[in-house]
Amino acid sequence: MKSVAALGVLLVALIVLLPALSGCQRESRGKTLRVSLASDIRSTQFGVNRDENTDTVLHHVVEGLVAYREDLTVGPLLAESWEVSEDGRSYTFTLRPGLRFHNGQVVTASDVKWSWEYLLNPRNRWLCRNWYDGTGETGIRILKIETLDEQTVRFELTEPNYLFLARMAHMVCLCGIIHRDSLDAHGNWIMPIGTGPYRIVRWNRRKSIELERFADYQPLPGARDGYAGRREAFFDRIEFLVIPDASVAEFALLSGSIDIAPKMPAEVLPALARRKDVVPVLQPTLNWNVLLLQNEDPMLSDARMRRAIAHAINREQVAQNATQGLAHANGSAVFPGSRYDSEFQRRVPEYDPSKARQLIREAGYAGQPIRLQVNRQFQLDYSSAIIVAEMLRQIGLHVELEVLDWATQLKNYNTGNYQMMSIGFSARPDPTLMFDIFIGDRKKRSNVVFSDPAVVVKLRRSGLVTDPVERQRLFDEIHAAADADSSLIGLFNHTILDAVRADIINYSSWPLARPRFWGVSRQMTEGGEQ
Amino acid sequence: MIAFVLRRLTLAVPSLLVAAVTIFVLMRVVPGDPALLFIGDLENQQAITEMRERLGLGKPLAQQFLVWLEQMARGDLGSSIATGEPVSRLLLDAFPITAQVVLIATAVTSLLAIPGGILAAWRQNTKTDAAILTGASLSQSIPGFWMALALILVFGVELGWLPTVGHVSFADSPHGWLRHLLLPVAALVLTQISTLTRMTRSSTIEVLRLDYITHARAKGLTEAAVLYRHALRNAFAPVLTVLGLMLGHLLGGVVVIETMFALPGLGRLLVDAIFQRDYPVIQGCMLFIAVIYTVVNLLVDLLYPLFDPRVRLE
Amino acid sequence: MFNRFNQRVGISLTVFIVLLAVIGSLYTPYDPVAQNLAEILQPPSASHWFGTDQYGRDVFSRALSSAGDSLMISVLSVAIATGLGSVTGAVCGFFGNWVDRLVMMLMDAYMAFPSLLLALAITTMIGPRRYGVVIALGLTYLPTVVRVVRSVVLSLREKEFVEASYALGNTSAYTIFRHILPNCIGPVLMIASSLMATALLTESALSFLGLGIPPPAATWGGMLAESKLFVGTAIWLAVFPGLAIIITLLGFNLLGDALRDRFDPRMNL
Repeated sequence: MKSVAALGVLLVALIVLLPALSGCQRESRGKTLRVSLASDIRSTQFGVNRDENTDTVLHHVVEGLVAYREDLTVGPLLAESWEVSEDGRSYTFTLRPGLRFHNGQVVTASDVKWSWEYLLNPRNRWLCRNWYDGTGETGIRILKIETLDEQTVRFELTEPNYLFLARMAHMVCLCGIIHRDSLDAHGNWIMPIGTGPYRIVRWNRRKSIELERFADYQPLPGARDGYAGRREAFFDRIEFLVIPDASVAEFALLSGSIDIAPKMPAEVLPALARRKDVVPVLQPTLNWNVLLLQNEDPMLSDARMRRAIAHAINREQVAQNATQGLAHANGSAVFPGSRYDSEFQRRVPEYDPSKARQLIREAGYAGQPIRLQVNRQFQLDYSSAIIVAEMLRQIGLHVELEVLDWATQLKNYNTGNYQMMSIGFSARPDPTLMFDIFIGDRKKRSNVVFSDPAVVVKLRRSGLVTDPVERQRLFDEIHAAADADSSLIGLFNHTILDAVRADIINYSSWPLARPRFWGVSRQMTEGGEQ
Repeated sequence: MIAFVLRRLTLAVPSLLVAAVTIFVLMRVVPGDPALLFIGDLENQQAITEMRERLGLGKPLAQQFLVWLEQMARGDLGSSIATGEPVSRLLLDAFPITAQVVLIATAVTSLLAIPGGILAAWRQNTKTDAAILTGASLSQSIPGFWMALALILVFGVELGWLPTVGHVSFADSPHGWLRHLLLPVAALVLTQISTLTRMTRSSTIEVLRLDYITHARAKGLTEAAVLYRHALRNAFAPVLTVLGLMLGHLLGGVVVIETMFALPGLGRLLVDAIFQRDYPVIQGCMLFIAVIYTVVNLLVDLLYPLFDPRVRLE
Repeated sequence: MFNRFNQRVGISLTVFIVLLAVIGSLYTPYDPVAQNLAEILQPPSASHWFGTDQYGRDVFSRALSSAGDSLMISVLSVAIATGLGSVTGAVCGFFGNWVDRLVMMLMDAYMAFPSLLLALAITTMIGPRRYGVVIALGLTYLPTVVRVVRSVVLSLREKEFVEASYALGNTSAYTIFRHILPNCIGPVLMIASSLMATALLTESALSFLGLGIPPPAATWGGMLAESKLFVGTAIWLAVFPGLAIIITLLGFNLLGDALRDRFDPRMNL
């Protein structure tokens, strides 16, 4: 059989050639940083069509006046400084001198005014407009924005609000200052012309997005600090590769196809720790995993049932085992060790199975099934649910796991259609915003978990007052009330694992868990790859 | 022949229409709300309501379906809810990637499986036959993602010979293109090879039993000539059918391979759209897949008479 | 001969797996769902033959107890497909009127979608419950069975015994059930065995995409998919369910080959 013989030769030739083929890889690799992205960016319109990955990429391109520091305080970015008036109603920002947009134009106060007016114009469908036009729940309302001179711009609010800067710096709704040429003559979006250390040069949809260093960028002095601080770009290019599956990203990293794989599941940590060419970067974050109990459900409306569940869960054990030992229990919306942490925030029902059994007996539980909804898209939701379900079985609850796809679970979350649900909340930098996720008026928002009117009033107040002592008192009271109600059982904050090749220097993460690639560089080996 | 093609295409229309209705109903029955997924972790109920209205999700299903049909009649597949990108553009970007992997893999599979199957048939009930059949059975017994994983671990991670993710276009770098395609193609070949090998083997065995082969042998033709000129020709028709079915299905997307090698192909586009409840993309993809399948089958039917003279296009 | 040998191997593997499933449903050394968070990711040892998983569950017990679920999904989904498919195919092939044309048009429409994608869409709709997966796979394979049975019936229709049945004054329904369907058993068994293998593979692909049956129950495919994150550190999580799948599929496929040789050497599927 000649063809078979020929084929054999071909195969052998291929196998011999394979290593040769790989010899000439990594041309110009030294100057490009390659990073995995779990899904493609949704658009380049920040705050209009976005998700977490979109934010991650666009924060390298577009900047706001202020940004979060790693200690969760708000620091300057485009603004050099700002002043708040006596009555707390007006904020005057002074721009850093000599800043330029990617197209070379100088950044002026009128650009700031123009950008904000663009964002606040209902026609442009900016999703965070309700944060600033008085319609949102923690209602800030901007009365007017005026330029005082080339470098100064003043925002006037209808009433003082502590959250104004917290909102403005919040990473999910980038209040980016852009040049008006980001739009075409008809006012349609083209590409963001921002001020960031990188700009977008190529976007292959669903495949990759490439950023190029902005040569005229002027970094702030000092050190890199969250989204604020020094944003000095060392890599000429950043290439984000869309890799949906975490294991695939892991192998791409191990084989050297990418330099950084952010947000890997904790399960791969032992495998990474074994290797010399890869470094795991661990960072506790504000992302919070919780168990929701529907207090309008016939069975769970009995507070004793909810309390029993709270006592039946060994939170520390859940935290440890769901995260391969990376996280510790946190039953409060306030991040442990942060500014508003207190001994009151650490108070949660102790793990006490016998008390739990007694409570469900008192509540008259007779073995009815209780469904626990969860998804498989988010590994931590899933593994916590598996462990929690087993703990609840231990006290005699008949728990059934209901694994849904994320879209279905999200819909159920939003309509309150569940008995129990294992879910994770993304980081909100301020405790008011964090509590706001699950406390509110159920008539206005169907996804609210806890809606005691007295507590809702306290939460509103915590967003308005500026006195830290009073805010602390309010947060402690809110937590105590929420904890007594036990409709939400806080489990733990994520520790995020970013996997990084060993030759990448100075990569680190921060509590708000958005990867940043400025300040990062590659260590040159003696061979010199460049 | 043109008449045949036209007739077949007209016949395919009702099928496609049925497919379209099924897809539409199927996806709308699935719980989930694209508007919610769009807004994500922002608290903005009003925006969700507005979005639903804009997408026309509140309207009766029949009305939504008619709107979609009417759009399609104009050749407009709509735009993605998640990204705003036109569905036609998404399809045109995704399909070539799937097609490259699938076509190359199918070619390689045929090159290996057809000679392999003939060899096994020729050497029926010998060790060669046993070895080929066992190999085929084994490769058929391993889940696709696991096969891909093994290839990635060996050639990507351990040996470091080949990249494990992504796709480089041929125009950018022929060399990079080849390197990026080798592993996904290999994985696909390994999962597909057994069906074709078995098919070739059994249809060749059948032909080899026929009288004219005995005649040919009696005439003193060499074995190679018998196999090539008589057996292969006649055994090829059923093989072609299987090949066509395989190709028709694979071109619709190879989700597992696309996921494991981070290729932005058609299968991944559809799966992501299903998870995102991106209705226009789902509908567009499914319909596109149905059309591809129909066209591939038509092509196979057109090729058929070349290999089996008994078959005429009618 | 070799074929005889293959047949024997196929039958013994299948019997072996069925036995495992029976044993697994009656007895496992440990409770397959009980977690022991103090003993997570232990390598194989005397007390845990196949090691433990990330929740400290005994992998041997899990592999044993999931034999039932893995087979159940294959068998039930194929039963749905063959049950519904044979009757539909027989009716279509036998009458060959507008019903036939309508049904075949529907089947053509279904055939156009890759089975994994169709199963994925249906599973998303029903929700990833145990029977959701079964129904999804069953519906997915329906057209294949309908087509095969129909073509067999088309050729049977012309046979003498069918005419004889009519001549004796039997009704169509009687003829179909008494004479046509029994003659389809061979080909149906043959595709059933190859579909069972495919169903097992598709189920593992569904698990890989996150749509397998819900925990704490598990299938081998599901266990294999979950082990993906541990290939670097706890390979035993992958090896045992992987081997179980390979053995089962080998069994099914060889059995299918045997049936093919037995019933109809010309049927090529």
